[in-house]
Amino acid sequence: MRHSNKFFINLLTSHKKLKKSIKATKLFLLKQINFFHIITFQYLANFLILCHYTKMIGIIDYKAGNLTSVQRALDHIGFSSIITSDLDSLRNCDRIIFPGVGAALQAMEELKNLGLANLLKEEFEKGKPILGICLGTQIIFTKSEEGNVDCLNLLEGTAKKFTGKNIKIPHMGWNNVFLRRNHPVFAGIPEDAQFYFVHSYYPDPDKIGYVLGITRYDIDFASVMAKKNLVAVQFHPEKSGKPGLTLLKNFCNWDGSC
Amino acid sequence: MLSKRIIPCLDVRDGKTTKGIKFQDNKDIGDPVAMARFYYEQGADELVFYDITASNEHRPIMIDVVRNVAAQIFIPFSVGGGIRTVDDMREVLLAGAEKISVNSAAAQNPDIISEGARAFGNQCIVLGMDVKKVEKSQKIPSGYEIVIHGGRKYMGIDALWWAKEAENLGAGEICLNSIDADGTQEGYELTLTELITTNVTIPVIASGGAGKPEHLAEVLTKGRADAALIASMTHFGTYTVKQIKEYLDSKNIPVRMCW
Repeated sequence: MRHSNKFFINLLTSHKKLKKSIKATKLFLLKQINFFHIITFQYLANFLILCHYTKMIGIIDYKAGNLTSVQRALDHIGFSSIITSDLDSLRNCDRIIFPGVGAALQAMEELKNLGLANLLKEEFEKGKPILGICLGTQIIFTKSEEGNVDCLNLLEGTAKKFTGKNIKIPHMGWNNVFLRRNHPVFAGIPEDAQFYFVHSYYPDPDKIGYVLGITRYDIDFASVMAKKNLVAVQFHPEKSGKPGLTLLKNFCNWDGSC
Repeated sequence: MLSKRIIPCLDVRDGKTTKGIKFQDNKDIGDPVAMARFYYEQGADELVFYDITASNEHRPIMIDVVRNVAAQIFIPFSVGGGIRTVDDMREVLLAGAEKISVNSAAAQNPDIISEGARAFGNQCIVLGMDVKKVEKSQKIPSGYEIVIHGGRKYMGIDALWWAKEAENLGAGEICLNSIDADGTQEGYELTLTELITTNVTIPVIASGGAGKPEHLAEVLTKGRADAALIASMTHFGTYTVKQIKEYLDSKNIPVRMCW
């Protein structure tokens, strides 16, 4: 009993000592920072919070595949997004995500009918950060072997079919991405992280300079492309666990410069 | 290099998993959403949910489960059980599932595979096959027959023929379950798995019989499966997904080790 009493008294004294030292530190800091500094800091903090919450991510709706999974991932990492095919809404967005699951031919038809093909080109020229995912990535190229269709030509190259004899098609599952150089969108992602792929066609850009990441499946193919304010990934970051969520977060915070 | 996938399978009845996870302190988690999170954090590569709800009135409960899982875990997952029409598929996909698994509905009406593939793409459609070993015959030349209703009804369909047919119809993946091995925890049916996986060009998930990590190593190498389904061995806390992956990694089987 006596022992425990002593223990509590010790605890109380040390707590009082701690409180005293905190008070002293506070006073010291307050003397150092004047009123002007505090106001500036508060404005800056509010501004940063506002920037984060008002940043709007536009997810292009062209009636292809599962667009809601991208939105769910953005919700989870705290970014507001809108799934839309409305041109003005997309022009007002701070970032554009061009996702998609499905076939290239139908997708291109929809994009043209909705006026989205031109919009994407315009927004790319303006310098707005754009992220292509899976089919979205393939359509960014000059053409696709899937239905032999002419595509957007934001990146010169072709989406080609896997032709290996001893491989399963689609290329489905988790695979590595070897980066050829650093890029802000891949910041903080461990080197051995894997991403979830599902595709039967692969990107084949004309210029090696566009290739940011390489993945091996029978052949070595370009799984990540980067050109100015555009990043295009063949895998699904929204289904690639934590590394995928980090990539999406990096993209939302990226200003489009490298 | 493409990793072999480890896929925990959760049976869900009326919104609760029928086999909860038992931790060391014997705490039972029957909530499929909590279990999904648990496996996601442990490094599962994908998840499978089978809705074994008996009545149609309770279907919306499963849709709620799918929606809640999709909001919290960011790896692919498929949903099977009771899906008979393209509308059923749409409902599950919109709730957030990546893939749909059709089993007895497809064995009775193969068109559901092509209809689903046309509407949502081949990658969305998983053919679930329940297979039993039988005498080789003219009708069943491979000696493996398709069964439904948990193995109670023989369909008179050869498993090898059906796997190839499903691929032609547009299935993007096959989940191959051996009824003979299921629940034994004595290892996967290797002969069957190898037979199917070497005769189709779509990925094959082996299912039924997993009891220890060595079984997964066998089916992913000798059985040449692309993925392995597990249930009891992790649900009852005997192993964790991480332990299984560490074992496979030590045997030089490519698995995703960073999550």
